Amino acid sequence: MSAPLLTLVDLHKAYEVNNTAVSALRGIHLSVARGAIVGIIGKSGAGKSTLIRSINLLERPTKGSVIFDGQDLKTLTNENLRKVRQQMGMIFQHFNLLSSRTVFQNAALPLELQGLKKSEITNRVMPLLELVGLSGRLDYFPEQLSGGQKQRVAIARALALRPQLLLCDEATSALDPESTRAILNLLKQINQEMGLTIVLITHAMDVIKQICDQVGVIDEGQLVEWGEVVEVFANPQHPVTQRLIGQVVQWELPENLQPQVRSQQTAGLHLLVRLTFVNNSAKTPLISHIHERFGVTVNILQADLEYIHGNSLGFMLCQLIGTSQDIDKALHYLTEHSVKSEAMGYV
Amino acid sequence: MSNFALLSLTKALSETLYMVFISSIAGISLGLILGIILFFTQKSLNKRAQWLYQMLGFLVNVTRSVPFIILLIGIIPLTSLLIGTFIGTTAAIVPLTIAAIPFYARITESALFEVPLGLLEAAYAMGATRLQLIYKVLLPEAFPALMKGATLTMIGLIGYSAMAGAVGGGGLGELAINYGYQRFNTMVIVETVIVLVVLVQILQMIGDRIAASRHHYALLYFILLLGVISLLPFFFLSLHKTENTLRIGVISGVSEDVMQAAKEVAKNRYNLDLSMVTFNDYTLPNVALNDGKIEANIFQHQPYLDAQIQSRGFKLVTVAKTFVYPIGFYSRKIKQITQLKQKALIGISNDPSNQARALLLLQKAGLIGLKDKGSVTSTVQDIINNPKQLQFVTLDAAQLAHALSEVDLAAVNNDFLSSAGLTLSDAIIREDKDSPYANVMVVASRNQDAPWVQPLVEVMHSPEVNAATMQIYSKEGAIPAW
Repeated sequence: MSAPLLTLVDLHKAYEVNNTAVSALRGIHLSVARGAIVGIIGKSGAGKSTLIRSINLLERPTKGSVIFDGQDLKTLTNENLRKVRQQMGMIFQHFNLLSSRTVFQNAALPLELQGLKKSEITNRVMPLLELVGLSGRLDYFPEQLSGGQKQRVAIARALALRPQLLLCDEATSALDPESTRAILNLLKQINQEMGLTIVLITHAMDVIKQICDQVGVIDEGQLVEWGEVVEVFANPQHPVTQRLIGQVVQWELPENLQPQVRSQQTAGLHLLVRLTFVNNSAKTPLISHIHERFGVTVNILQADLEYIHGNSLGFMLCQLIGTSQDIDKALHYLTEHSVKSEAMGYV
Repeated sequence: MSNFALLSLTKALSETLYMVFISSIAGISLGLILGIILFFTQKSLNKRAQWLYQMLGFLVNVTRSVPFIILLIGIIPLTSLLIGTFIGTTAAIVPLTIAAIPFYARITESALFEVPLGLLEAAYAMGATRLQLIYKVLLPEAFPALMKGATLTMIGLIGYSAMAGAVGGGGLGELAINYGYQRFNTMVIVETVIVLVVLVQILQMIGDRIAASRHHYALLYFILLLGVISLLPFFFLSLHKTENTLRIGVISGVSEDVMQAAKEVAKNRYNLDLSMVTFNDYTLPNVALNDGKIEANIFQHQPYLDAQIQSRGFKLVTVAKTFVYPIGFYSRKIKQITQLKQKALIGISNDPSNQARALLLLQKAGLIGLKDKGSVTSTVQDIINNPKQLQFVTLDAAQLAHALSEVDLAAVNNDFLSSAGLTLSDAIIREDKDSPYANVMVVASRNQDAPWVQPLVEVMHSPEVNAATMQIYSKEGAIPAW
């Protein structure tokens, strides 16, 4: 595996607000492989906005280093930093298009700043606007476009310099669900066709689920969880992660059930388990096997099946009804078939 | 006559356009730069440059709070340094520009402040330099607000340019004040105001149209180019004109008409080019003469000149006497001096020499007694005997004729008589023909023996100038003193 495109080493950022120091980042370590789509998720105020701005040094970290393509950005002169920034496109929640420029002129701006010739600019901008599906709206002004279209212009602009890395700052937060899906598909397409590495920050787990390869969870300035998206979904460790995952999958106990759950077994109560199926285990009829082989009846209270990057991921809350020996055997059987089971209590 | 009025109206309009246009371009350009510096040094963008922001902000506020007329006088040394003279239309551009800079700087600062900070971030993220950020992002995005501010600045400068008359700047404002207001000529006032209203309307319309246009650069360049091209000849003309011409300083008002006659005589008989520089007050003509900005002035009498030389150290010398313009006391309330009530309100001039002159005349009429029998330096404080307990109010000489409706009796110089609809025969008391207050023609001491002095004296003593003077001042209003 080649060297990562981007590495963040022990990144700290402290602000001074009304003479008191506020830490936005507290020792972030992160590595982004070439061609990956990495999502950083966290609640608002967790520090994700500061994190993404630290990558292109819009915010200068107070401690730690940003290594991009082998260069430590903090050591660069202003001139060289500008050159590096041209290797990183960036798109924003509120698009940040120039209202005084047309679609074409907005996308052409980074090339103009490079002093490229008009014909060269046209040659490079036109295919990009084609790619984002706006070649029919070259002379429109931003105010005449929908949110999704504006973000498409911003993407074309961010790609104009043929960057290695695309930074997305809450790029879909201001969009409706349909536009969000379309923009995410576009990003995925760009990632696959151009091999562009993408780092995005979001507060919506849906975004992570749809396009990310790896996910990092940030809370109070620290990276509290990191891993492949499927793995993190299947086995979230940190409470913040668990809550965030609860946004998109039926993962937690339904609220009406919660008061009925007991921690001790008494007569008439049955074991409540959460089963997590990944890939093949989600496709094998394991539930009927349990009944057939161990005589354990499965009463399904809640179930959800998600597809993440071609991986299927299932969650099931169920009562297991049978003798405790049979149930133990059944759980052992499930573990053998890579199904994770967690006892939640008795109900 | 109407042809003359039209001519002076178009001349004044072109002077106004010239002053306002050049000072707008200079003031807006410099104000834009200052405003950009203010924007980038503000607290949210640059914590370390706070000292610069505070300092520039203070300078801007100070300049903006100085009344324009004070600024006009206060920066005379700077104007002289830059233009070579502080009088005339071109010289008026300097104070107008100085007034426009801080105003437009604040407009720029707030216009840039309206540009979303996200755009700055986006520009930096795509590797823009500070300069690129300014001209590719900030200025185009703030353009409508900047353009509206520019229109506002230009219209403000039109207002300020009215005061340029104080330094002989000409323009519509001076026309309205000197020919309209001071001569009670309502027609001139109405005409100039109409021209000003139309001018402001046109400017506002063009400004709004450019602000709303998407192709702002092309339009702006086009108009700037057009303006500069149309005004350049005027500029060179006004610089060039001063070279072979004798500039004569006079007080605006009827003296200008006498000078018109003098101009013709000088040209026809002596091949001298005279150009008239008009002033609104009695101090600047001597300052200008002392500094060599004009070659001669004709507006004062010997006692006033002596007082000025003594207090200001001017190196000026009298080369000829012209006319005695007897001062008189006038009233709109009484017909005879015996009707003057106890504690009546008397208006007299606030400049020392005209004040003394008026007091001496009152003493002669037996109304007051002055310390040591009075002198050319007597003031209101020197009144030791005031049986009628007269109250004195001192006013600018030009204002005394207007004040007649407010006071019981006012001393009015001849210059302002005809414009107030008065003649010397209306005077309730007036000076005799033997007054020491004959007007004099004054030049700088170094020019005392210059070849043009004698011809100039002969021009002023010519029958034509005499006749013109007699026509303007009714009989006995002006008495040849040579």
